Amino acid sequence: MTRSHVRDVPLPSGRTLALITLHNGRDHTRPNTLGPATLLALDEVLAGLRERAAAGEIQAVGITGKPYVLAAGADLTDITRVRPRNEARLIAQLGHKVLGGLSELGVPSFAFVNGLALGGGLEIALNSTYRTANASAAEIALPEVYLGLIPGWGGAFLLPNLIGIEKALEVIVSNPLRQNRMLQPGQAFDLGVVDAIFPAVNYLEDSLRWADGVLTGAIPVDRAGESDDSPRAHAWPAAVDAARALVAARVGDVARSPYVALELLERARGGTRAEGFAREDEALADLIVGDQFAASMYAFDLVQKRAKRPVGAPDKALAKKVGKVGIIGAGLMASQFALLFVRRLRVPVLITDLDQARVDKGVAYIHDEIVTLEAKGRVDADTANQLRALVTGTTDKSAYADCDFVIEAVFEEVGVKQQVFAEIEAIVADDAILATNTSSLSVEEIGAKLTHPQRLVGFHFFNPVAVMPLIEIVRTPATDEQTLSTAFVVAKALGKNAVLTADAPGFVVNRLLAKIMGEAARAVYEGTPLLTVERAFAPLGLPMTPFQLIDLVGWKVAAHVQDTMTSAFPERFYTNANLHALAELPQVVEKDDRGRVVAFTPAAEDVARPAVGRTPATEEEILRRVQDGLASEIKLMLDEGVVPEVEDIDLCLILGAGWPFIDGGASPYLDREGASARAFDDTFHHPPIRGIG
Amino acid sequence: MTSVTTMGASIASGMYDLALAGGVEHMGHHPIGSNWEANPRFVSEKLVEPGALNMGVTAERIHDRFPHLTKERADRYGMLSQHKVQAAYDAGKIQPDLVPVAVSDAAGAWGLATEDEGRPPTTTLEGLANLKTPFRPHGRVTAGTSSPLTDGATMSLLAGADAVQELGLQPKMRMVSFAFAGVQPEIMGIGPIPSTEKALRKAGLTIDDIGLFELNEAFAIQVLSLLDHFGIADDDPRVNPWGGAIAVGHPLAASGVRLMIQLAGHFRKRPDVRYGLTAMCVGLGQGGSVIWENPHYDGTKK
Repeated sequence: MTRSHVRDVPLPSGRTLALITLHNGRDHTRPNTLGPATLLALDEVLAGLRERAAAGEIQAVGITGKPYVLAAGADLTDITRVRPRNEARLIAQLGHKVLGGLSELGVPSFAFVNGLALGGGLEIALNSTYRTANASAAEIALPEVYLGLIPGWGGAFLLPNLIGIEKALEVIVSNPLRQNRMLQPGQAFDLGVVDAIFPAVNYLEDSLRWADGVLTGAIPVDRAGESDDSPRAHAWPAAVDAARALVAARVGDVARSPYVALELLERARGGTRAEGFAREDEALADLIVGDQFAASMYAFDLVQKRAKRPVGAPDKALAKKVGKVGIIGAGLMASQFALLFVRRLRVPVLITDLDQARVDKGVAYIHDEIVTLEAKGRVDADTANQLRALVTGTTDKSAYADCDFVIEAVFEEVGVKQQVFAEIEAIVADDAILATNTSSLSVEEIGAKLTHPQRLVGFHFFNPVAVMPLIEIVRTPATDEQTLSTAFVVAKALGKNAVLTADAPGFVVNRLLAKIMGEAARAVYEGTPLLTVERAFAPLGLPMTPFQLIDLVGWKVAAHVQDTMTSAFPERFYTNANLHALAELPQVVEKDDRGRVVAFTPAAEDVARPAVGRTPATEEEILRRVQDGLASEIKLMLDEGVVPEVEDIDLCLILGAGWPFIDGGASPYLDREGASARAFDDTFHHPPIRGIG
Repeated sequence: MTSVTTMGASIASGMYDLALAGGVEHMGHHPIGSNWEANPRFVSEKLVEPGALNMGVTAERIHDRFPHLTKERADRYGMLSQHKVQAAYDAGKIQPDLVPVAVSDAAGAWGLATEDEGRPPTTTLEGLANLKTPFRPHGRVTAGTSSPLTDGATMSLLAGADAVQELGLQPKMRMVSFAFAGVQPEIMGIGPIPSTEKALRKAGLTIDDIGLFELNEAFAIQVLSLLDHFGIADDDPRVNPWGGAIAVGHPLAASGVRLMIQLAGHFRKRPDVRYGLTAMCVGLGQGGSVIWENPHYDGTKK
């Protein structure tokens, strides 16, 4: 439990500041959190300080945290345990009462943001009269919207009134939706979230001297955001409307918390603090008891914990040390691999292709990317030289002889891959690891002609390679423990999260995306208008519509994936030969300036027309087919042992395809929509992951 | 102190124009009686007696050598040190040279250290008389006549004459001479006596030229032995006017510059004094002394 310790600090002017230190008695790896017991104890401390202030014993109150941490926010385990809605509201009210007390002490309060300040941790600071930040503090953020909540201990009311609506929208709404982006202390200062910033070396000393200057009046505190009243009436709602449009474009309209936050921010323009806090109480209570928060907490736990300890990963001591990496292919994918491997592993990376011209092009691309990294300041000049020197290209495969880890990124055809590995196996050492980036072929079949098939593993990246955090590691019946262990160690060194899957068609992500793309294609070829299909998928809350996805993946690849899945499971997947005809066109769909698909191109209409039927489906029918199709497919995958547990499927969808927290990936959503019950007369989770509202 | 003498000498030989010299010590890392990672040869080859590794034991040896320097004189010296530090604080003489430091207590609660902590300013002779003598049964050295274990850090800026002129600096003191001298490790506390004689000789001065003394009070007896040697009274007002290490502690690497900071503080108020001495003993048998000249000296009186 995080306790509130108080010590009196004498200030140079002769005043006394009572300094509260939040400390949970653990080291910095276990940050302070704010549970009900902590809040109640802090409330008592503040009551005592209020009396001392009235008695003239203290002239200010400060609050700071243990080394490196102010507080990481509300204790989430406590919040997930609340049952009736009024209990959820009590959590919000308690936070408001206690933290709000920081502005009702009778003397000014100073928050010294010495380290990590998330959610309720930052709201401690926002409720204080003044704030400073340690320039070396870890992240500062209000990440609630990312978790399906809103800043409900004063943040949604106080922040826009402190720094202005536009900046507050960025901190409270936009940043959490950008993969939970957080503020560095310097940014927090620039935005006006804190009044002053000091280097770590004398942070508390400098902050206390600054506080004394504020108390004596020697240091004026200038806040731009508070002063401009005039443009408020007009600019405030306009800013919220603009943000609302951006949220809709980014995440659709299924997620509740961004819209609740937008409304709170809009209404924070007027009225009293008490009214603002009361709105937060109700909003927070609504969200805490909702399905989306329950699913978000499940998803958060997956990416925080399960992703870091992959199920089925062998002992990392078994891994082969990788001192040189070979990449077969010099195309775009291979070049992206090379860049990632060389940046992360800092070992020699070799690329190859059929002729010198293609090899040179591949190396040149990588060198250009390194120049870009250097220009952005991501690497210094010496490191850039090191990286450039580590990347070489050759047409002479004998240069692969001393590679410890060879990954292919050649054309997606079994025969081609078999031939590549046959050639490489004759050159590399007997225990060198071979990896294939195939997205849908059988890894076992790719390795069928190897002398040592135990060293082959699937190592499936997601596009864009530098950004997407998932690698599916595919084990064949022959793959040995050393190979598997090496794959996990390499994935981790690359900064990726790995999930172990069986060698089944499409593994996890592509199998389920094929379901999405297939159902969309099916509906169109039945005669459903394109935009009806696009709208039908909206309730899933996916990061993009099905035809945005197909267009991103590429129509050729999509047609190929659908063929592969349909040949494996003809009764459950959909493909249409016409997709290949569409794929030949330079452009299949037209998009607006926000990247939304608005229509087929006229050429595509012409190509598709002969294949389109006259039995259009409704949005409801399409949605139900997708839901039920996903539920039964996931159930089958679990029965087949593609992954050990449904959590791994959800984790893959979140990390590899960006499926939303509010769905918990897929399974909590399918359970709560009744799809699981319709598909297999049960649920994935027992009890289902539901809110209590 | 050695940081100052090393850098001072380096400036004198033209190797630097300006230098920062100081030190920091966390005495929690030097628990009493076990403060040396001693070379095992010291004892196995009988280079020193085991007692030479325990500073309190070496202090008892000074009492042995000079029986007239009694426990009562040491207690009185220790008590006055406490009183002098408190008086200096009350008069606001020490605070201007301090930098507040954030510190956390055992529970992790932050506070601000704004003065030397842990002093018992109400120390009395009666109280001191009954303290234990941890270094020897029925010995003479007690917690009341030893420097307590405290943390500390100090810093000074040294500059050569050319740099002073070029940058328009206002020197607080001028280094005249310094010297180190070796003594028997078993009685290391008398080290400042020969080192001071040596430093005086190098400066062409005598003890009578020294108008102010800042002597490190590792132990009361160690200061008393120097005063006795030079025929100075135990309570001579020229000696440690603001008290010393018996009250504020002796964080080893920080103490030398603290003596210098305080001497500089006296110089500013005493234009009648031309020369001052800072001196300290060194464990395992050395003394170090630095003689300083007061730039505020107006020649009215030596």
